[in-house]
Amino acid sequence: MTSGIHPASFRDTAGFVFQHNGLLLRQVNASFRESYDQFLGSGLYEALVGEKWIVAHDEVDLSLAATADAYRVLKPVRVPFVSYPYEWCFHQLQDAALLTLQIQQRALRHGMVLRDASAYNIQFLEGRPTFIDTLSFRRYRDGEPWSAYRQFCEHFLAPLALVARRDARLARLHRDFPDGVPLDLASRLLDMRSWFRAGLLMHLHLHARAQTKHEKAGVPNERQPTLSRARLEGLIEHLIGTIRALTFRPPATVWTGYELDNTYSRESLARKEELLDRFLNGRAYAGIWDLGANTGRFSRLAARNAQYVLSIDGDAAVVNQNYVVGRRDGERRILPLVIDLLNPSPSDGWGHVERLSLRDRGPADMLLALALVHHLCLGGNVPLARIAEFFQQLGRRLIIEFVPYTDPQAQRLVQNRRGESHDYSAEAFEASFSRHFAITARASVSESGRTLYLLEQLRNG
Amino acid sequence: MYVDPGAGSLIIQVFIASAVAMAASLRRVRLFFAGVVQRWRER
Repeated sequence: MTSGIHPASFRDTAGFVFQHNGLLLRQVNASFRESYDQFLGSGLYEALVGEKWIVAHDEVDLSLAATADAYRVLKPVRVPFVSYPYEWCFHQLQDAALLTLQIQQRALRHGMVLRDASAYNIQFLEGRPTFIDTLSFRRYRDGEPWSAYRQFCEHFLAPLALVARRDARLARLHRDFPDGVPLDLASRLLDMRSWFRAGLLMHLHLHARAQTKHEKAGVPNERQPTLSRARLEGLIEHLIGTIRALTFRPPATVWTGYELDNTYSRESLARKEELLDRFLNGRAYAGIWDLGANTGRFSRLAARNAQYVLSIDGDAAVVNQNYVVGRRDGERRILPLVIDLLNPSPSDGWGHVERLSLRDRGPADMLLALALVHHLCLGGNVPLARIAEFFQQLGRRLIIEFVPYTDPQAQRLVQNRRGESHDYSAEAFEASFSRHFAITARASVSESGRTLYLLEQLRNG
Repeated sequence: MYVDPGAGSLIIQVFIASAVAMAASLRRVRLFFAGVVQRWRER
């Protein structure tokens, strides 16, 4: 039985993830027996679970195995929503990098080592980065360098350095380079002053040159480089310092001050919160996706009613702000992500199935689209009918705010358009969304005519 | 999952680890002498 094997889980010969009767299971292959036994027997697994650095698992009956060469079958704690590194803000990627290095340090203490350092081994669980790949550990052999050093630098150091020193938009390179941002490219994109930072000079610039120089020649077996354990630990410590020294100072964008600089009166804001609370109706939702969440004000309100809330925005600076505040407050239910709804994450990777599109990771129980539609329609040139069609694919229910054309925020978007915009009116809005949703409730939010709707997907929608 | 360590990455890694270790040794020596100088001044 191989049909349930997860489409993204085929590269590792040590095992794979698969579905069985709705359960998500991980098979450990017989070829990985020694490493898996050492992982458990050395106390490393217990130590990592104790720190909440890795997802816990239960061993289940071997009869559930997907193929004949199984050694163990594991049932890991399920991650409610799988996100990808190109959807993370700077501090999420930085926390993921530091976790990877801390795990490597801990593994060395137990006589083991990380055999890969992919950013895709990390997921966000209860507000914090968590390692998900139980099969990433093998025995440490005295004198060996870290085989995943290159991958670590390409998956974490290069994108973090580019975002910290050049531009937050360069985080998108992760989407084009799923195997990590090539170091020679990062080296060329970085500023001259980065050559005077010891960490970046060594781990990135000189590393890139060494890669280029030795790319073809390779290293003869008799001249394999060796590295003592103390020096390897020193290298990891130095990488931690290099990652920590990177700071994110985004320039102010339209959105970073939006909460302070929008046209809402305090009364309208209170009214909107009250209506949102009423529309959520005290129900418990598995997942709520807050689209265009800005710094997550309404995501926090929605989080009272959901197991998890995706707090999505296209602006990396506000998502970073959202994440940092949530981390400070110990927020466990909100996952901020950088996703541009006008160009959302596509299905990607081998056979278009290794990484799923935003739509394919849904549908959500509830969508929030507050003060968003005018940006998509008037700012992004997407007709209302197309917006309704897409939202119907993303969620079963929808709380959506309509901002009238005469509202100052809508006017800002059309001031230079000379009438060149799609049909945008309350009537057109209701007609478009009524094709896919039933309007369950509607209420006025402000004097300017903003209206909040509660919509439920039509059965044949 | 197996990842190609890269010949250049292995070589530079050893070089960087040596440089880091040497810098740490120098720092320890500097701290030692700074301590000696401080104790001498306190007398």
